[in-house]
Amino acid sequence: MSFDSGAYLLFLPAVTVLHWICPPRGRWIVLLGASVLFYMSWNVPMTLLLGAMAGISWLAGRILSRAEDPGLRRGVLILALALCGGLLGYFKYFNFLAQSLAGLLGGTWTPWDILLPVGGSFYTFQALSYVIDIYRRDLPAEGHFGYYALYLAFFPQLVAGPIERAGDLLPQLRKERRLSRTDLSMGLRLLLSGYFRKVVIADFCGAFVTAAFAAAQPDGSAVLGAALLFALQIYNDFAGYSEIAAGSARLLGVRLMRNFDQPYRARSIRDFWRRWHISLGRWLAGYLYAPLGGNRRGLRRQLLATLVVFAASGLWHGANWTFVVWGLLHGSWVVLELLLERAGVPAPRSRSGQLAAQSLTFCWVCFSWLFFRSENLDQALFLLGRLFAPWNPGAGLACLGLGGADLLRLALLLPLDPVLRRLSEEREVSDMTCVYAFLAIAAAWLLRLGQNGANAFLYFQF
Amino acid sequence: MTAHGLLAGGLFLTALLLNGRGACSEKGDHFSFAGGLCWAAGMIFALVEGVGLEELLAVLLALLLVSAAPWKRVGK
Repeated sequence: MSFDSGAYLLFLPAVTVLHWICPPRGRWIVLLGASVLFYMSWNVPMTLLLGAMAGISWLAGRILSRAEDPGLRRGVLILALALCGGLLGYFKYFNFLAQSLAGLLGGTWTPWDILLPVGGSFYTFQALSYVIDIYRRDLPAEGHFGYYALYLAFFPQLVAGPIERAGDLLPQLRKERRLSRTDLSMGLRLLLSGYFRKVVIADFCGAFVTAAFAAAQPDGSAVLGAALLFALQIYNDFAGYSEIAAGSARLLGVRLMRNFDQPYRARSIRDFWRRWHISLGRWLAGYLYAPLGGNRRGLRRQLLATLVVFAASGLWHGANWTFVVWGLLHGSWVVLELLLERAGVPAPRSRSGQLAAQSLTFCWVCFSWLFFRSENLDQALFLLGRLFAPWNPGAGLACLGLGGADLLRLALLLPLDPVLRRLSEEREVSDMTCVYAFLAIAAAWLLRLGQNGANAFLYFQF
Repeated sequence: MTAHGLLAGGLFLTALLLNGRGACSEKGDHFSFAGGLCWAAGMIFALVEGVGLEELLAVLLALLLVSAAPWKRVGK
């Protein structure tokens, strides 16, 4: 049941009504039941995996909170991490690792028929953060398995985040919430903004990106256009999903964290990762970068930790070397930034300098998106090669399938980001803005139905 | 283009102007509402003219942009 399916548009109001008419003490049962049903709509057997993850991490938390012996605590932590991480590793990476190893040894590997658990990367990271936080004594263990299972399976953020820390989400799920006009209003506005981003912007751009990546001999201008359009697509797709998740949760009185903060305004790659998929960046910083030494063990250690974290980030996104290369491209730029900082090169202060930094960062991000979007390294390198071949803009537009009307629509869509931000934040917005946004979503939805049908949310595949 | 098409175009343009006016003034709700009515009327003529969904979506996007007045700092 995808967020942009008709079923979800029936599911969400039904769950919201049921939730609020239910006595406070029983609301967790409604939400947990709804979350399990939501996940089962994707794949019934994988619900068992989610249950196993919940059971293992909850038990580990209980033991860690009572055990005093350091050796025992460390042993339980390692076991829990190995089991949870191992489960995800098997389902997501086994075939990839086996294929890569076979390739290295000059052999072949017939992939096993292993189903990828939807949202596995997200809820596994939530489970791991819960166990680690208890081990560090930053969080008391949750005694009620039902609430903990709900924390892991909460349907608005189950399949594609944000990756919420137990310390932020559990207290909200536990407390007696009251239906407020603000929550209702903001929930609907977040849904409006999210669906606009997904249906009107992301799906529109996606069609042209697909055409360019499928072309046998795309013109260099088409490759550039595809990179820019993909930048627009993936941002609005993922930010749109996050806003729909936040809106759904807000209707239930729960506040999820903001996951995006105008990432394409970043003036450095480090700044980009403080604005893009903020929950993942926070997770990696707290549970991987810091334990590897972070910036506390000298420059060499810091640079190595940076590269490891970004490689891991790439791999987290998918079992493909293109994602690893994408991660390392970001990591190597951050290493460069750190070296420049250490060498005493100051950050630009003038307006033109900051604009240049912003443009450079955006160019690097778009360049690396080519790897992220490609099916394999061969395709990525082929497209890079086409980028430096002679350009023919006319042929490029034809390759993308962009007509005059499409360019006009793009020109109207580009300045809409500040409008959507205002819609999704607690700031004044006129009623007519909401009406036009709603009608635009309806029109785009009808158009989409008549053309190529729905496009899945990109981040659901992770 | 028939009379319906011209009327639709004129109404859409009026809707844009009224929404823009409404977005710029403190008590612009009446202008915005009138703009909405013009848009609705324009829609009827556009549909009679046989204008496609893509063109209507483009008009809606323009109205959305104008109604939100992103060039103006609004709200808290």
